[in-house]
Amino acid sequence: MSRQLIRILGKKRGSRHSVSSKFGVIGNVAFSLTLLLLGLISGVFFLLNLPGGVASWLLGIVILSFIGFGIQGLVTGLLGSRVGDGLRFSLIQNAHRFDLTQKSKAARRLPNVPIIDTLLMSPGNTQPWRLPVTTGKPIEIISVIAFFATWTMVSFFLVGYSINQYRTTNHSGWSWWLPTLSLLPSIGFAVWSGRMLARELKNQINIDPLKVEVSHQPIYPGQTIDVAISQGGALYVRSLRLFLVCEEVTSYHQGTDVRTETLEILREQVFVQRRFEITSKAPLAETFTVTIPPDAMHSFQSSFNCLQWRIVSVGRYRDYAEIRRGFSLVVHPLFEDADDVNNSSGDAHAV
Amino acid sequence: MQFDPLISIRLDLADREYQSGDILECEYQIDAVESEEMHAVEAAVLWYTSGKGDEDQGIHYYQRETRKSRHLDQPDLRVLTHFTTTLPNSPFSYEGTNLKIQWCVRVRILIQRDGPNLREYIHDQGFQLHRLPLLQS
Repeated sequence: MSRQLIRILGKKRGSRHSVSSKFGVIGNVAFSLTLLLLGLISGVFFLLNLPGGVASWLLGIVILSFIGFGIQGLVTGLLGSRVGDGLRFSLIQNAHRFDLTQKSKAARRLPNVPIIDTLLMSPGNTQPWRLPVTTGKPIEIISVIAFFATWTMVSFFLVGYSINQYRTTNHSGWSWWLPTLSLLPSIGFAVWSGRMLARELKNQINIDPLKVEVSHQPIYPGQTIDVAISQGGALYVRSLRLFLVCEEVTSYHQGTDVRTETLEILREQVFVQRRFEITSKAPLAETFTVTIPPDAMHSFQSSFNCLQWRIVSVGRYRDYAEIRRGFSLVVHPLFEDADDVNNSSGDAHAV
Repeated sequence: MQFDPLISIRLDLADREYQSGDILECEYQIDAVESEEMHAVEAAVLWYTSGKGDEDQGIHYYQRETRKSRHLDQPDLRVLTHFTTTLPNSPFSYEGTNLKIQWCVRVRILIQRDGPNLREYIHDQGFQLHRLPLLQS
């Protein structure tokens, strides 16, 4: 009995389960079903005795979220189980049958291969396609802004609170000097994050983004494409290097965390230029060729795993920090009814 | 003493190397189990990932047969069964460092022995899905 109990209470260690996955599925379905029933029953009571004012809105939102999460949990729980294998397959097949959009057709033709997203990609100036930037620093900058704003607000609050306490109390207790002591680190955090934010913003404002354009998209293994780069502004460049990079990106659960690991499996330098100046009259404009290795794996995307191709630029400029940017490439596999490699998608407007 | 059932899967190509668009022909048969004990048989052609990330899976072909769904003239689920499917254009088999993509034919049987509980047995037969030879420019 105790052994059974231990097995039920067992936990997942990495990818190994100490108990059958059935327990997880059953638990998930039972929880979602309970949530759904609770939502439905309380919804009936709510409609019968409708309260007034803000309370009705809040209660309504809570009940709707119970119903919504219950349905979502039930559907994902059933689809995630072995029982759902056939159901999932049938759903996908039927969804494809009725979805007549080009996107769906392309996805069906090449399952788990990213399709060319015309929303992200625009026509270029010198080459047909301008590649979208996949790694800038928007999240870092937003995080620094949030950090800076939080600590500035905390500092202001502590200053106000300390002054107020100092004025109104007899200075004998902890009430005024404890917040005053906390002032120093909070102002320190605010200044440090403020300087970091200023440096990031200076980089963003003063350095024009590097533009990368390619002659063909999608690209096939073994294909050679023209790549054009351009950058404006007034800069002294210590070095600018571009790499063709292929990465395996894997996500995995560790306890309740989801971790993502990126491993470069190919890094090939395709362009380098050192010690040159970019001026408004003489912007950087270079064209070179890039060849995808003939035995390369195509781009692949699924829920937890991904294989992606990118062009990565590493720029070192005078008076600025090193700037790295990634530009997404899509490598498609060769298949029988694929378009001709040499003129498939040279025209960005045709897609 | 009861033995575990035997599931045998045979693919049409001995080297089990296919290219996208090829037709995969497969036969499977179940042994060492009584016909009355057989509850259901599922056959699927699928890919799955292994490596550092959590497992992803994509089902390309799926069929399920139960005693009820079988024709009356051949109710035995153990008999040699044949199916064909045209292989998709992607994803290809891949052997990376943190990521591997493997294709297989999977046969799963559900057996009812000694009581109402169903017991499952699964057997995989892996194969490789490769790309077409490169076009000569």
